[in-house]
Amino acid sequence: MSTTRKILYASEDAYTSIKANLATTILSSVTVGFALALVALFLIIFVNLQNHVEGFGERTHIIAYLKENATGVSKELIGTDVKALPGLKEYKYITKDEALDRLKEELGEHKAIFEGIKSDIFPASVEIKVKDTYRDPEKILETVEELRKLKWVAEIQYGQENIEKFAAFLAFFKLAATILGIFLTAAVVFIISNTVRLTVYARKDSIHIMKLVGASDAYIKVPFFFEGILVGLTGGIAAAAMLELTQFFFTGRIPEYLSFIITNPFGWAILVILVIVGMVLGTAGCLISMRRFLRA
Amino acid sequence: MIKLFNVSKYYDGSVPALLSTTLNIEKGEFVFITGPSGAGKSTLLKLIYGTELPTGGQMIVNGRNFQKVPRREVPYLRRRTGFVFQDFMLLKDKNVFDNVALALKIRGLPKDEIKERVSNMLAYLKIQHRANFNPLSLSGGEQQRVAIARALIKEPILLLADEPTGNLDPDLAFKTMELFKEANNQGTTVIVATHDRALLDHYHKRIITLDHGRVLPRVGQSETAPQPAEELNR
Ligand SMILES: Nc1ncnc2c1ncn2[C@@H]1O[C@H](COP(=O)(O)OP(=O)(O)O)[C@@H](O)[C@H]1O
Ligand SMILES: [Mg+2]
Repeated sequence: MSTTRKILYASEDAYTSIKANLATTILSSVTVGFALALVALFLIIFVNLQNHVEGFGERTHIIAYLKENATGVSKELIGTDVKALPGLKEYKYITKDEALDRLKEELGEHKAIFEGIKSDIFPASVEIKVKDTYRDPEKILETVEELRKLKWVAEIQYGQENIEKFAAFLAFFKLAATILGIFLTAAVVFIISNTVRLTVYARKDSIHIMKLVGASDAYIKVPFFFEGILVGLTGGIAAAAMLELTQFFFTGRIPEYLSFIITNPFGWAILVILVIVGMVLGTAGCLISMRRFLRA
Repeated sequence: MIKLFNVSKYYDGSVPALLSTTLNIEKGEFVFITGPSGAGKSTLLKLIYGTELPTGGQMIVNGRNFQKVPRREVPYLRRRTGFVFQDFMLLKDKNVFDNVALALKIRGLPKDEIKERVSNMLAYLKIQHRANFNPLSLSGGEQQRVAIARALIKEPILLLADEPTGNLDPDLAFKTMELFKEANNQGTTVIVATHDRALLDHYHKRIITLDHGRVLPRVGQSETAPQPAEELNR
């Protein structure tokens, strides 16, 4: 009975002390909000760019053109040979007819120039896609080398330059993003913990007095616990709002083909996560930074 | 109730705030502690309250040795000990009523009881008209009365008061002492640090005189106690 009342009283205390320190609380919420929004925005841009850039990789494939008059080469033999390649994901046999059809399709309205041309002038080919893990240049070369050894292969096309450039770019992109992410996270944790510390520091006299009067640590902690939750909650909501605003602001202001960058790929989840992360950081920060004053 | 044996307190330097003090205060006693500024009065009270620990010697308060009390039990020991701090120690983010009520809220007493007891106490000390004010907007004397109210509301078994009448006019000073006496009559052990000669002369109680951290030999009545030096009210 008295425990329930203590919890009730401590919660009322939380209300009065938050009201009395409203300016600090709002300031903390806004700071936490900005910090969280920054991280979330970074995460969104990073994930979008990574997906986009990996899409490039998805489109790179190896094409092996068949020799014109390779005797004794059947579709079955080609199939067995290709299946033995390291890193194979899937392959597709393209006949001379299909090659012509494709070209016509690509030419669209100009396809008339191919009227009457026989598909015979085009080589048949095998299109090979490699596994994700095989998408860097060295690995792809492994596959290409194996392909070269096959007797029915005339010529191989695999966009060497593109793949190398792409791999270098992807590596740089990931490194840069990781470094940036570490700095950003460190900065944000620093900002949030300092904001919280200042809030607690501003009330160190109160903590001291409550102790002198005989309040238990738990009783003293309750208002800070609530304040941590409140700061985190409002900070998280502020961050979510800032994200929505950013997206709203940029929509129509940047070229269509770039708009994928700020499109939130996580949906509502990220807003919920922001609020939860804010609450956890806020509460943990509050409780950790007040320990010092409780011991004194 | 309170036993000190050879208790010393050094804050940092080599000058002791309290030196080899041996004292015995019985349950239900009313004791004045006097002496010039810096003599160690506040230090003695803080040692008894447990906010400072002795650097030497042994002491027992209410059957407990603070040097051996686990940290989490300390709040419970403080709930039945009232302390009127020299610098009041009021919460700036709570109004007068809530400052006083805190002492009961932390014990989880029913709301109605808290309201009634706090209102009565504020009325008795003539600050009920300030109940909803912030302590910062009060005069020194009013703040002192809030501090006294918070100490007495606990119905303490031990009441420690550090210069509790320093900011009160004589009339109110005597009224406060009457409150302390009343508590004492109910069985509360009362220890008041003061340099107010009028109080010392008016109440014929035991007087412990400190000087440079030492207890001066007991001289009985206050008339013969040494006149305190110019008090800086520290
Ligand atoms: N927290 C402290 N840190 C260092 N020295 C202190 C502290 N509190 C008191 N002192 C010193 O201890 C001595 C006794 O102080 P105090 O007990 O406050 O005396 P009184 O209350 O009789 O004026 C003084 O010399 C004072 O400067
Ligand atoms: Mg003093």
